[in-house]
Amino acid sequence: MDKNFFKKLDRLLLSTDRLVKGGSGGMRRSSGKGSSIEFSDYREYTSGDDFRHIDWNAYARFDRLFIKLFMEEQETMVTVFLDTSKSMDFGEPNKGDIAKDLTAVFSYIALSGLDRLTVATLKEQDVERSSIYAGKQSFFRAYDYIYDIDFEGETYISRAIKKAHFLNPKAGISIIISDLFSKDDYREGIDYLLYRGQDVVVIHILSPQEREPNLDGSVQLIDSEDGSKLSIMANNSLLRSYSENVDKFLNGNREFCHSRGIHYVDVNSNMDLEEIVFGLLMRQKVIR
Amino acid sequence: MNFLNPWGLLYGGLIGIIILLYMLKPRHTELVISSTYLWDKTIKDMGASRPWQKLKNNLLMILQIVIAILLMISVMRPYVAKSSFSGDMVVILDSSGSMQSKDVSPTRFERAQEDILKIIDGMLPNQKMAIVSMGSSGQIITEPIGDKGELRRQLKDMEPENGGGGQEEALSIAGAIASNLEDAQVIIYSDTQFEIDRSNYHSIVINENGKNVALGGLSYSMQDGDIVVLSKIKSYGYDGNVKLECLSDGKLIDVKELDIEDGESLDIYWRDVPDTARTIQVNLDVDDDLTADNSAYIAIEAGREYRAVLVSEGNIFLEKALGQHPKLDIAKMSEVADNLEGYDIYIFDGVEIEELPKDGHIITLNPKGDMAYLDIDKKERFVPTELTTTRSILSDELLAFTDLDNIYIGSGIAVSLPNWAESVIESDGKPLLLAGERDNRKIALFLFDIHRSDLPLKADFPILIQNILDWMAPDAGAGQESFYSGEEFLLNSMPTADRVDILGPDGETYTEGTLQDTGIYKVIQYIDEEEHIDYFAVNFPVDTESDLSSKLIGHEVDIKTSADSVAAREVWKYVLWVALVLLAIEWWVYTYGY
Repeated sequence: MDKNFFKKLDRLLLSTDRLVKGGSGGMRRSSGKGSSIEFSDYREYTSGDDFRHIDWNAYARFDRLFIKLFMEEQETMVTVFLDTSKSMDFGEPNKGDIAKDLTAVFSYIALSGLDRLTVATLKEQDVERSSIYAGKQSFFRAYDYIYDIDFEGETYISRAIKKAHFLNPKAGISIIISDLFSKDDYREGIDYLLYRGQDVVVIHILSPQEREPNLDGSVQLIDSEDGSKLSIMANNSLLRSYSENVDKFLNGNREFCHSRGIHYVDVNSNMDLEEIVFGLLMRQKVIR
Repeated sequence: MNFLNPWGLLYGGLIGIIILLYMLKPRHTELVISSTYLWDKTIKDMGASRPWQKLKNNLLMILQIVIAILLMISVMRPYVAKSSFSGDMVVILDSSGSMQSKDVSPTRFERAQEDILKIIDGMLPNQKMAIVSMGSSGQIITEPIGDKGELRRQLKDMEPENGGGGQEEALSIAGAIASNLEDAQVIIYSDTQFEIDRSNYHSIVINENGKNVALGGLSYSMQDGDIVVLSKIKSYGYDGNVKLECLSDGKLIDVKELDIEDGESLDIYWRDVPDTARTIQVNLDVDDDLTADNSAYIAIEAGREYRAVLVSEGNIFLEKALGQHPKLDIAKMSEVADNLEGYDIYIFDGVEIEELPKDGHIITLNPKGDMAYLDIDKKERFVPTELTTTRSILSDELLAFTDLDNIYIGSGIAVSLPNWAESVIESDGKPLLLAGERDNRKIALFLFDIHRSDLPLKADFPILIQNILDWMAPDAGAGQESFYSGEEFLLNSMPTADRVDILGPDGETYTEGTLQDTGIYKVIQYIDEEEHIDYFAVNFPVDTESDLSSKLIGHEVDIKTSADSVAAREVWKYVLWVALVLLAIEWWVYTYGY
C-alpha cells in the first residue's frame, strides 16, 4: 500500500445498496448541510468530527464534548467486523495479512467518503470495537489500530456479532472479513445484522492451502484454534472428497448471501490486493 | 502339507515385531492447520465407508504381516510328500569300470551321483539312507543315516573303479541292511538293468548304449628266441578307423592303423619287440565313450634262478625230482658244511644237523639226530598203517594233483607236532609230512626214509616235490604277471628279501588292497642291498566291463529309468513367489496410495 494506491482509493465509495434494490447510485448523504435542523440525538465527540456541531451548552453542563445529530445529516456508520481468531493467522500468503489490508482499505474508503468508521474484532464470543473514526485524518489512528490486532483464540461469529449493541439501529454498513470457520452458524449473525438495518458485505478469505491441501499419507491434523486433533489417511479419495467439501462450503455461502441480497466476495489469500480491490470488489459492486 | 523345518515357526516373531513397530511408530505426521472445520465435514461425508476405511488405513500393515507369514512358511520348508521312496532307502551305486562311460553326460557315474544327490535333498527328516558301492566288490559307504550333509559328502567322495563283478556282494550287503530297516526301499543305480522280483527293489538304469573299442588280451610268446606280442581289439558298437601304438619299456616301437566294425574282434601281432623288453604297453587311439580300456599292459617274465643246495649221501629219486624244476640251480654236498649260507633252499636228506642255516627255506627228509632246532621232540619209530592226507590251504597246495592215499611207508619217526607246522600226511594221527613257516622261512619235513617207501616210484613224488618247490620258490615277485583291476594282490616275496617295495603305474608306492589303476607295477625286492626288480601288469577287465550296451540281470520288475523320484516335493519356492507378488503390491500401495 503506497500513496498511489490510496490516491486511487480516494475516488471510490462504498456501495450501500442492497443487491435486491438494484444498483441505483448516488451519494448516500443529502448534499445539503445544516438546512434541516430536526434534532435527533447526541453523541460523544470523536476526533475528526465537525467541531461546529459541538453542543457547547452540553459541554458546559457535563464537561464533555457532545455532538448534536440532526435527522437529515446522519452519517453512515461503517463497521468492519474482522475475524481475529487463530485460524485467520494461517496460509501462505497469510489470510490475516490480507484481512488487515482489506480492513484498512475499507476504512480508508469509508473515511475518505466522509463516513464514520469503527473496526470491530470478533474474538471468541465477544466483539470489541475501536473508537469511532471520522474524517480522513483519522485514518492513521484506524490504521494503527488495525495493524495492532493479534489473531488468537476461537470464533463464534454469530454470538459475537449479536453483542454488537453499538450498531446504529437504523442504518449502516457492516463488512465481515472472515474465513467463516465459525464454531457456531455465522448465518445467524448475518441475519441479525440485516435485522439491525445493516447493509452487509461478506469478505470470505481462504488460503490456497485450505483450498487444495498438499497432504500425503497418514496425517494428524491439529486445529490451530482449539488444538483438537483429527487423524486422516490423506489418499486420493479423501482429498477429492475434501475438495468437493470446499466447493460445497463456498457455494453454500454464496447462495446464502445471495438469498439475503448481500454481497459475498470469495478472496484467495494469494491474490494481489489491487486485484482484489479494483478487480473483485469493483466487479461485485461492493465499491464503486 | 508338512514342514521340513518346523523351527521356522520362530520367524513368526516377525509378525509381532511388525505390529510393535506400527504401534511405536508416530501414527501421523502432525500438521497444524487453520481449522479442522472442513475436514470434519469431509470425514463425516466419508463416514459411511468407515469400517472399510479403517481396514484400508492398515492395509500396509496387513500386507506386511501376510508377507511375513509367507516368509515364515517358506523358511519352514513346506512339502507335499510323494510316495515313490517313502521310508528308509538303501542306494546301491554301481562303481564298476563301465560306469566311467561318457555316453551319458558327464559320465554314467557322475549322473548317478547327481540323481542320488537329488534324492538326498528331498529326504524327509525321519528318513535314513545307506549307500553301498558296487564295484569290484560290494562295500558299505554309509550305514543308514539321516544326516544329509554326511550323505552328500560320502557320495561325492565316491569314485568309479576299473574293476567290476561285485554285483552279488553288493546286493547281498544291501539286502542285509534293508532287512534291518523298516519298510526300506533298495534303489540300484547302474548301467545294467537289475530285475529283482521284489516290490521294494528299484533299478534305475543309466545307459545310453555307448560306443566303445576295447583293447584286451595282451599276451606274448617266444618264437625262435624273439618276443612276439599279441593284442586283441574288439568293437562294441563302433565302426571306423583306429590307431594302435606299441611301447616297450616306455619306448615306441610300432604304430598300426586299421578299420574295425561293430562286433568285430581283431588280433594284432607286434614283432619288433627288443629281446630285453620287460614291459609292453599297447595304446588304442580312438574317440569312444570309455577310455579306461584303451590301453593294455603286460610284463615279460624274466628267467630268474633260485639257488638250492642238496645235502645227501645220495638220493637218485630226489635228485631227479629236484632237477625237474626249470629255475632251480642245485648244488650237491654229501655232508653239512660249516657256515652253510647263501642259498634260497636247503635240502637235507638223511643227515644230522645241529642248527639251521641262517637263511633260506628248508626241506628235510628222514632227519637224523636231535631236532631241537625245530622245536621238535623226536620219539620212537613207528610203522604207519593207513595213510591220510589232511585238508588245509597249505595241504591242498602241496598235494595238488597227487594221490598219496595208497602208498606204502616202512617206518616213520614219531614226533610231537610243533606249533609252527601242520601235518600234511599222517598215519593214526602221527605226522609223516610236516610243513609250515617259521621265522618267515618255509620248512617241509619228511619223517620217513623215502628209500623204505614206494613213494619215489610213483608219479606223485616229483609232483609233490615240485609243489613244495613252487611253494618255496614262486616264479616271480608277484607270483603272477597279470591281474585285472579289482583283483586282490598276493605278494610272494623271496625268503631272503629284506624289504619289498611295490610301485604303481603312477610311481607311487602301492600299499595294500585291491588293484585299481591299470598299468605296469614294479616290484623291488632288496636282498643284501641288491635290488631284484620284477614287473606285473594290471589291465582293465575288458570281458565284463567294456560292453556298454544295456544288459539285464534278474527278473522283470518295476523299472524306473528316470531319477525324478524325489521323496518330497518342496513348495517353498511357490510360497516365496506369492510373497514377492504381495511385496510388489505393498510397494505399489505405499507409493500410489489406494
